[in-house]
Amino acid sequence: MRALSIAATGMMAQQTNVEVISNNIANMNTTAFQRARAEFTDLFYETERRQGAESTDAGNIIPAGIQIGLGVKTTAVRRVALQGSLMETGNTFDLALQGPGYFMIDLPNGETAYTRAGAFQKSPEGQLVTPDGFVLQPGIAIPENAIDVTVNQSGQVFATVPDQVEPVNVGQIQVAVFANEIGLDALGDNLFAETTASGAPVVGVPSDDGFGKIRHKFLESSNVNSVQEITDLISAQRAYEMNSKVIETADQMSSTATNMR
Amino acid sequence: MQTQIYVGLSSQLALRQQLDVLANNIANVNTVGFRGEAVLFDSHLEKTHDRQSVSYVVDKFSYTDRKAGAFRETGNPLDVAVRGEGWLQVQTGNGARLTRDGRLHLNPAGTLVNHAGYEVLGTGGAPIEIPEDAGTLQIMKDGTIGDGERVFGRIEIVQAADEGALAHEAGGLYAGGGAVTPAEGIELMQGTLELSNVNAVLAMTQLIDISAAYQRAQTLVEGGDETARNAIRTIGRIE
Repeated sequence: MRALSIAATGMMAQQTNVEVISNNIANMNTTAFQRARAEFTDLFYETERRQGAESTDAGNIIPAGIQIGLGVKTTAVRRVALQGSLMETGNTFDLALQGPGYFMIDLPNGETAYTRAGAFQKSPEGQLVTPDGFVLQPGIAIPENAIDVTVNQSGQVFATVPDQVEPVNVGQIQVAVFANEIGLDALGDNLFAETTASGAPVVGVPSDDGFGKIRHKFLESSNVNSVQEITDLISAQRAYEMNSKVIETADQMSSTATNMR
Repeated sequence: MQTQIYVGLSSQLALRQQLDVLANNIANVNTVGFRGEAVLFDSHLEKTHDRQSVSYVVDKFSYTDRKAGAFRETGNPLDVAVRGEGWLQVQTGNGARLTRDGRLHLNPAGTLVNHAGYEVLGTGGAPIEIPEDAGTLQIMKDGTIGDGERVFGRIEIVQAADEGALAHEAGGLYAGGGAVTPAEGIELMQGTLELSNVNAVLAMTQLIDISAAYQRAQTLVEGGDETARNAIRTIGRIE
């Protein structure tokens, strides 16, 4: 009975859906987290009677055939790259990106990772680092005696040092954009890696055309919308139940057939 | 004599077919742009030797429910829904196909593609290229896509000459609707998706109906069996 396996594909798809939703809800308060969305499409169709075939030798054409779909599959779990809301934190090294772009981070293995989570800290060497101690590219050297640090919208970093009236320019933060940013590979820890799907990074200065602005002392919140997640969860659960009802019905019908004398 | 059993059997076979179709609809209750299928049954008349007619059940064809699904706002700039009886066109390896699934993506080359990576066709059947430095994409009601300053192309909304002949393919695609012409007065809605048009409540009642009808057919088969058995016993009894 095909109905059993068709309903099973439906239950598996809804299970994936619930998994994706639960990860979104778990990361509701993760800085710059982008919610994911499970995307489904229908599976193959079995044609039992083909439309357009001739039903008689007089050339009568069957207008519509019998097509039976074989269920559903998950094609993608797609990140929804929408801007999260900006939250003022007052922290000197908190940077948020408003608009497209990713900060570039040096990984210990020499590769570059990308992130929108701008909760940076100062390393003992005066560099800006992620909470895991990975260095922000291009390197910025904040003087040891700096009293205050400000970052403007274009990513220029200024340090106020004693005995100097004018703040000193100590570096320029650059950001990368991608042709298809949702193609980035999520590494965990808020980091992403370039893939063939994302395309090569285009590095530029914040606030330029096509690049986002930097907001100093702000952090980007996750773009998870709790109401949407909960309604999605309800609809996923109901869809799961419906599929299980189909299995129940198919089972009853099979047992009817078995009990036939 | 055996006709009663076979009529019941024909009904049961058809109901199983209907359950398969319904199972697929329910499995796709959360599939964007999905349109449910239904099976149309017909009676097949057979003349018996004593000039009475018996009608068996045959499943004539399945058809696609063309009612539009509900629209849901997602806010994602690359989600579009087609309002009205129009279709988006994508270029597959086997030729152009129609779809209502408006979950668009950009590929690494900046071309507008659907979720399976097939190019979305613009005016005149040309793919739409989005430059790397484009701002937030805006898609107008007529399908024109731009970033507020520049226009990169126009997503073509089409109609098929023979919508009834469209056949489902995997991935929410449709083929075989005859000649395709640009649709008039059909609008695209950006940031919105068309949900599956499968009605959950209706699907559940259909499920109950199928189950009950199957039981009835079963009774019919069993009744036929009973009659045959009784006949053999009674006729065979030697007084």
